[in-house]
Amino acid sequence: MLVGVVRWFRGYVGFTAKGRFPERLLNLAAVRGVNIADPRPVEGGVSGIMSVSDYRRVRPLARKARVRMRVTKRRGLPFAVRKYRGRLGLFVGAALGAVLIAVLSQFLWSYRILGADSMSEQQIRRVLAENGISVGTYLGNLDVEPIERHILRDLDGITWVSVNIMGCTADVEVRQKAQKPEIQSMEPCNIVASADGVITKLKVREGFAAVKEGSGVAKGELIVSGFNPTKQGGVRYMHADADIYADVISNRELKIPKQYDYYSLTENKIDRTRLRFLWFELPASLSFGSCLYRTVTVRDNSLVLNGTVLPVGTSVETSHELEQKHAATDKAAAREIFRNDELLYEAFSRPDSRPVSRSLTVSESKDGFSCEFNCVFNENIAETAEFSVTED
Amino acid sequence: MKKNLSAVQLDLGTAPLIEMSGNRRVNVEGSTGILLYETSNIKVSTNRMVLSFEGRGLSVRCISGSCVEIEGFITKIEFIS
Repeated sequence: MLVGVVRWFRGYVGFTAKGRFPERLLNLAAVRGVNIADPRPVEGGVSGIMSVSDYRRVRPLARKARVRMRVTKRRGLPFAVRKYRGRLGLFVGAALGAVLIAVLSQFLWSYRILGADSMSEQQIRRVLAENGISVGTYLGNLDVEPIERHILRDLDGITWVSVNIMGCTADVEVRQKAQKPEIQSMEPCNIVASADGVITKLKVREGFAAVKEGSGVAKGELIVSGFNPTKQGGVRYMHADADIYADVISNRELKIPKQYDYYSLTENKIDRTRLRFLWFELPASLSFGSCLYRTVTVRDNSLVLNGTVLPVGTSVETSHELEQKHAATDKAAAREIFRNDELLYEAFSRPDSRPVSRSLTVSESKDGFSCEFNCVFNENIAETAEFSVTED
Repeated sequence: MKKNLSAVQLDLGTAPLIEMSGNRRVNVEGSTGILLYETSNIKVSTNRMVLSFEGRGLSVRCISGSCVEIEGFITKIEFIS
């Protein structure tokens, strides 16, 4: 294989030597150090292949052996070059291509982040860029070990990082920290009320209830005790554990103005396309429009060849025009807004509570509308209150 | 006795060294040239004798100043002195 490649680069000819003493040609060539490859007997002579330079040397030997040599084929780089001698652009293009590949192979084309399941990939990319890993980085300056150390230092939430450079691409593997398990304290404690309310249900797993269902409790009041008096007159301390459900009153107030301004998306948008090549960016579209208020989205597209992301692509920046709008609210609309706000409050601020009753009182003033929310929620108000025990 | 040993050593030094892989390949070291090259018969000249290889599809795989490698289906080897 290698011999064949070398032979192709040097150029070789196939020949037949016919005459009186073709065997003598082989002997003379062998003695002179001329390498005849694949010599085969043919009718009246021999055939074989040899390099171009050897063919020139072997011609006097052919005369000595009284054979007539005839070239049957010409192969290899010298003949290919001669064939395309008139097409200079072909060679210039090939040379430029080779230079381009040699230069581009010195830079990082793309990189992937692996193992960042619940972490922000954008944040990791920012930290990588701060530590010198970004598209277009010169690979000669990339020292992986200190970079890995700096990434570990700068990025919270990871325990291990490995930067694997493979040619012009890199894989950045990260391992996230395992979440610390919640360790239940077994220190002696009481259960107290976390809010004022009327107890509707007691579910005591450990400890002694100090109140009954239907009792009203104030915030901080003892509900389940962790003290257990023994028959011998001593006290045993325990970790009280209970679910205490109580009806809790929730009052809050919300105000909205009668008139307000807001921004709304219009149909107008401007696309600006840029061609990306490593760190270079060139405008590829003519867009002269501008917007007073706008929101911008950027979409990057990269060329992928055989699964490898190339450092060539487009970056489309879309500016969506925003329009400032003026709106006025009437009482019915305000009530609807307050109602929706209450539903959102229940869903997100008190997800574990069950609404028992709710009452909305909307009042109108000169500037706007205000609403008083008077609701009753049934929720768990158990709160642990640890205490320390000092033995005499 | 000493004289006889040196005579044997002299003979071995000038004699061709023939190395065969079954009847498919033969390597002759100490050749001085090819006398006949046909697909059915190849004659190789050495210092002391001529080696004749007969067979089918014979070809010279490699040739240098003192070494010839023959490949093919060899059916007969003859030492002609």
